[in-house]
Amino acid sequence: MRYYVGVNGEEVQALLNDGSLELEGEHMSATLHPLGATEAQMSLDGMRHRVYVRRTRAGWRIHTRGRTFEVTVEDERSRVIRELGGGMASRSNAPEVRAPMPGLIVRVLVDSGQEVEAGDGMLVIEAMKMENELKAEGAGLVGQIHVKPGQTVDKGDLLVSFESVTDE
Amino acid sequence: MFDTVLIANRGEIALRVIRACREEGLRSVAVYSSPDQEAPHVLAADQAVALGGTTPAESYLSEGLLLKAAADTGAGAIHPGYGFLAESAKFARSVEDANLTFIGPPSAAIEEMGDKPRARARMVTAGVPVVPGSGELSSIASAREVAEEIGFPIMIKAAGGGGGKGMHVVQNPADLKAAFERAQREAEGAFGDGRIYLERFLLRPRHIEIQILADENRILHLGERECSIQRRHQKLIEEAPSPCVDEVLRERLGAVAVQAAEAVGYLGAGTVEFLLEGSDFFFLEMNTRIQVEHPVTEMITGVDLVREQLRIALGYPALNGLDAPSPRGHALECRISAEDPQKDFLPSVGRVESLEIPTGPGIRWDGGIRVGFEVGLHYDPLLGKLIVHAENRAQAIERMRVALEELWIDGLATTQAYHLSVLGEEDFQAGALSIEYVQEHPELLRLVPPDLQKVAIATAVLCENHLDHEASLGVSDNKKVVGRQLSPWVQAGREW
Repeated sequence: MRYYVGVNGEEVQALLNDGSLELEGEHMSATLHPLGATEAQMSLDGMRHRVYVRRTRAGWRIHTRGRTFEVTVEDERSRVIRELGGGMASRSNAPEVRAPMPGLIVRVLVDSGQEVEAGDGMLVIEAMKMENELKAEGAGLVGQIHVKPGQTVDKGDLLVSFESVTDE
Repeated sequence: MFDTVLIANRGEIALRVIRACREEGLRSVAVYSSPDQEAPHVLAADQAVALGGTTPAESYLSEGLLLKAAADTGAGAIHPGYGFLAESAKFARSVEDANLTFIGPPSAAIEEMGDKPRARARMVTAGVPVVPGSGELSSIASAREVAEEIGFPIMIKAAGGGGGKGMHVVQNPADLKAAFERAQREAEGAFGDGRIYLERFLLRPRHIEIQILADENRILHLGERECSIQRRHQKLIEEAPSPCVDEVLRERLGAVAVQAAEAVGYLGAGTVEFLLEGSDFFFLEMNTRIQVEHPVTEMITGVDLVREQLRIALGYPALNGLDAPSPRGHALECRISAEDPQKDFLPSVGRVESLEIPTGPGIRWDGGIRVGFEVGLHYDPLLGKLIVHAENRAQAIERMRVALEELWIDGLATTQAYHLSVLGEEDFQAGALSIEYVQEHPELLRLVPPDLQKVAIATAVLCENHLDHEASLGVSDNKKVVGRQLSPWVQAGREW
């Protein structure tokens, strides 16, 4: 799987295949051994590193040897979906809402046929213990709703279609 | 005499005083504001008194509440720590008037040193060198006269000012008139007080200070500390001894510091601060209290300065009447504050989620936090001080680096990484310091070691991959994907 990694204002690509990581043309073996709630041992080409990990809204906060890094990671499929205009970060005239992350649908806040304004809550999805409200990116008429509360969804799944989109 | 000490402070220094009280066989009384109800110093003390309130003015600065707490608990002495009321002559006098012991110098000495122009005049009389300068200047002609006498560059300052406003460096005589007029206008505009004066401008001076201990019969010094690594007059890294002070200079500085303390009838622990330019030094001010950076002196001398404060207040001779010990090795201190160096040292707030304190030979942590403690905006952002002692400066730097790499405070941004960047920098390693160091090395604010960034990227990618992997496997098993009982990390990081 190819990943786009954002760190320190730069973007780098990482390719992960079966415990082998390719990072900016460099190949290395990579394994992660969790040690507790937020702690792990990262092994890169046999060299061990103590790391502390936190999930953040934007991605991951990684602390190692006195330094803290804010890292965002996006896989290839998510990027393609995002660039096509699906998901949370879609354009304002998005014709649909897609799951920005794997998780559990907690609530559906709209009905089919309902008019929504930009910023109106559409659904609540729970992932990583956090509830995330997916908001309408633009105004429009809600079409088909593809999920029910309690349903597990995968990243990129279609959640809500729009009947029509109001021009701005 | 007293057997109970009220500590009118919070955080690491309150804990430090409580420890010294325990060793001396004294009972300790903590005081606390509402948000500090479960703060470490409250939990550590023998007794604790609620002051209520949130802001310092409502709590740790409330003289009436502190005196009442002392009376209610039978405390015969008050230790002010540093900050808050530590240098309030008025508070020290109230404590004296209540027939309690103020653990510090007499209120008169605090007053003498607290008024900066008066302290300066007093030091001149006592033969202590101060930065050459003028009194209040009435005209450009008199400014020119003084400037020619002390030599350029000079610094023009507002008499009623502070915070850098109305301060101008003048490099040569031709620029004096314009700078004089501009400073006058600015001083008038900023402070409603157009009075200005001038001083010789010190070129990249170093901050050197001398630790003093005074009892009823003698005043002795325990050598110097260097605190040149500072930002906006806030010290970040301190060390002892200074890499630029030799035995001869140490004795000169020590003798002058003792003279300064004698001039005001000093008692207890105190610090005389100097600016050093080349081999010339100038009195800056005297801090009439224990200082944040006192541990570096403790590490190289073996003297417990806080316990000495208590013992001198109890009437014992300083150091039990012995001579000051010869220093051994080198000590460094890094102040770990809840400030984000990447965001111009903006204070960060949050809950301490986990805490790993480094340990090992020659490593000391004077901290004021614990897991679960909320760090707010009302008080000083100092979380703790990491202190190391080693055989020499190079080894102390290595020891500090390793200790900083082990330290982990989860939940808020700290100055930890910045310290690591300074320790690795050439000028710091060479001991080529000045109070301009932080400004002169802006690259250190954003320095990122590439090898550690690689580790962070790999970790994040593996965590993200695991999330995706688990999600695709776990559609039939809701609990596995969104298992409520598991922490985010366990969900993310379980091995696969």
